[in-house]
Amino acid sequence: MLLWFQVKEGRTICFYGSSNLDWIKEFNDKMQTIISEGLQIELVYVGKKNPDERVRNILATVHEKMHKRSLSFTEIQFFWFRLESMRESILRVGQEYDNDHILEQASTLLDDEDNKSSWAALGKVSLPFILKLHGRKLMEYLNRFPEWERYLSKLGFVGALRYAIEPPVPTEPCDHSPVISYEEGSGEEIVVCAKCMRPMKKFVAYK
Amino acid sequence: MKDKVVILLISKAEICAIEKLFLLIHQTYDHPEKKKIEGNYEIVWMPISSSETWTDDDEITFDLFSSSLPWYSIRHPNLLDSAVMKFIKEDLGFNDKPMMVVLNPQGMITNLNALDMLLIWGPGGYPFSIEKEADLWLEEKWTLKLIFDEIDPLISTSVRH
Repeated sequence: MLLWFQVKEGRTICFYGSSNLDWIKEFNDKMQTIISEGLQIELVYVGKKNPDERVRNILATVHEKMHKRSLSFTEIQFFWFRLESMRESILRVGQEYDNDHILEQASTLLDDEDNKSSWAALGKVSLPFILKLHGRKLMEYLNRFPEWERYLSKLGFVGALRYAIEPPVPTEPCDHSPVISYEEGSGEEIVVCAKCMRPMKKFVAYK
Repeated sequence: MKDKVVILLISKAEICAIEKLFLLIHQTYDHPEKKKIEGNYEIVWMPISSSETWTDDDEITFDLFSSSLPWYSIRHPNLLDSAVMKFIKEDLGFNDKPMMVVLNPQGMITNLNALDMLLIWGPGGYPFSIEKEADLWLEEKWTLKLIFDEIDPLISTSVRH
């Protein structure tokens, strides 16, 4: 049986890419409903790769009507240039580090062939895990928010959403993560495996 | 240039897309962390013609850019020795996309192209060697910090009202 702890609700960042203003409006509406319930979620619009005039116009609308805190158009360009550089850099270094994960994630954003597709990626600032969802599926889950809302207090927004998408099946423990040192007074926190984002079972070992 | 890391920014006369240029400048000269390594490195721009010889158009573009960019540039690109050109194109693999070749204070090439690591980590990449690039990746994970800190550090730190 997994032990559940209270999640320390740090900030959740939700960055999203789209060149479809209707989708963006719908997405923002749904997210605002959720945010108005008190959750700390910051929305960041990132346009799409090779941002053009269309993205610039959408950004103006987003900034004016949806969320005042937004990247500038130049910053959006920078976002995409940096992703490309990350890919190039990892390939150049070419060693067998744990960077396949980064390469993979950067590539899913960069190689989105269908430039009409919309997506959102969510993560907590402190955790090395980002959950990414596409257009319709994302809307589906957001529409079903009342269903998974109750997991929020235990899992936080990202955790709860992930739970909704893929309720954990009793399975073998993963062997991804090493032992994590316990800090006295670190509070009640769910610790999730950095790789598969499933809650970790707590064992205490004394040295 | 003694005792400094020298970065040769090799590109066509019209360097690259203006936006990327702005970002490169931001990551080098305008970067808030720049003070930490100021004086320890210099960027020298070496424009290379895309054709066999340096053209008048190249000269015009070069004049325009070199007077407004914050980097040193070689004074007479048209006088660049053909052996050097050959080395740059064949040995260094220059093929029109801008590259930043890094030389340590002893004059040895320590990175064939540090452009990407500069865009990713800015001055944090000093001394911009390939070893440093590999070391930096050792520490990285796919986090919001990696994705956004260089762009807008406030995204991961400020408190929402």
